Amino acid sequence: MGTLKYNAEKEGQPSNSGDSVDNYFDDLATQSASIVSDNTRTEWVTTKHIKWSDKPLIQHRTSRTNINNTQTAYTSESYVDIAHGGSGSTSQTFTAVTVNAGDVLRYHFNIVAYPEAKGLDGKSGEDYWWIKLQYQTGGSTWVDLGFDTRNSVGTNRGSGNSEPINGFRRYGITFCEIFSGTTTITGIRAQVKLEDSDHTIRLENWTQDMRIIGA
Amino acid sequence: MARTWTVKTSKTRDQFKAEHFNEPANAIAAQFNGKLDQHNMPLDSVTHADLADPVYSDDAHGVDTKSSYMPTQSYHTAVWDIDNTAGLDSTEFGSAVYATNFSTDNWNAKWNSFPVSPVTEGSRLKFNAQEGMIFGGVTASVERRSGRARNQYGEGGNIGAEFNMGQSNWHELGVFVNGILCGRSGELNNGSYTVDIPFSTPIGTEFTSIEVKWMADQLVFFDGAVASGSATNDAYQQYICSGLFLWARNQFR
Repeated sequence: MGTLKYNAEKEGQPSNSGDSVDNYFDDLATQSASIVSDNTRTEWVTTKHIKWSDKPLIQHRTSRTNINNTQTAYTSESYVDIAHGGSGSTSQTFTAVTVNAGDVLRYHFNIVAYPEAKGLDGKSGEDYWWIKLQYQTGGSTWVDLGFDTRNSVGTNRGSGNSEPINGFRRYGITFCEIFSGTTTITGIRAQVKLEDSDHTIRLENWTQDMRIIGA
Repeated sequence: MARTWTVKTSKTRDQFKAEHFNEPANAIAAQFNGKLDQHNMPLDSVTHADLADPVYSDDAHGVDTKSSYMPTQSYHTAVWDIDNTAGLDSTEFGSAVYATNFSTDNWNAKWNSFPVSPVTEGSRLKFNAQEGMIFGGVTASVERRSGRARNQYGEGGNIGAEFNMGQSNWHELGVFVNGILCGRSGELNNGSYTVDIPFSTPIGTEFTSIEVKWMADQLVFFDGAVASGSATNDAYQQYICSGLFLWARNQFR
């Protein structure tokens, strides 16, 4: 809506000549639907004006938590989904959410892990294990987030030493992706793998939270 | 928008005075010319479509950084993503990881910057902040290890005997916003761990630099020789990083 000014009425002329008054109010009624920043004071929008049910800031949120203390062993030397617990897998797919340039996907995952020390003796030189986070785009393609996080079963990486890290610990990861263009997000998942299958990793409670932010 | 009212009420058969109409009409017009305020908009009326689209930029102040400037906030990320499975053998940490050996490399007794390239890609963020708050976090895979050493001649004891070394090593990560320590991991013990450190701080409208630094204990020197053989030997003298991800959100006031 542009700048308004009214000076149509002239002295000595018939009032409302040429529909000037009508035109003024008609224009006002029409253009007031196109209010822009030139028409407003600065910082005039408050949180009460934002329609939060329309998700203006967080376009989509997905979370899942497994809190039933289910302890599950993982031994694979290639990546597999972290899928244990009564709540279902960390692999969650959903109706496609369209993201545009500048939109942000933020994915937090944390889990309680118990590195099994039984296989450490003689193989402490192969004591790494990894967790990585991914998102799915286009309904089929999985894309890595951040980096593959690396952890160890032992404190000494010499193959002749056995100094295990025993006990439960919680490991946390938060990664973001800032998109450079338009795509669709259709899922998330967390995966784990081991350097050597003798080093069983026992995974327990976990929680994940993913949100897509756009304003 | 303030209320306006008719100063001169027109009555039937009155003589028409132009200013009686022009002035009230211009008074209304003036309100639309930049004085509409929060009382002129219904509550719950701003939807997602009403907000400006984010503006994306990358590598603005360093490689492998991304930024998004949104109407209410800005997001910034930096990542050092390497293949940390490459070059592993029974005694090594991988060919591409960041590893400092305290006995041969330069390092500080307290906080150390990660070196420029390649690790800097994940340890530094720079952007133009607006007044408000910065919330963020760093996820890092870092490690220290114990090792083995051997007594030398003149050291007494059982000459040539091997023993474990550095079993009480510790290390720590810190996040600095414009030079102020805003988040730290606390002491981490031996082993490889992934840590997720949150941080937050008030911020003004200013150029902002966020940096991740590391610190490790120094009690790793032993006047002897590292042991040879299959056991990891000088690992107790090293600090290792195999991945970094730093992100920050600037929530505008």
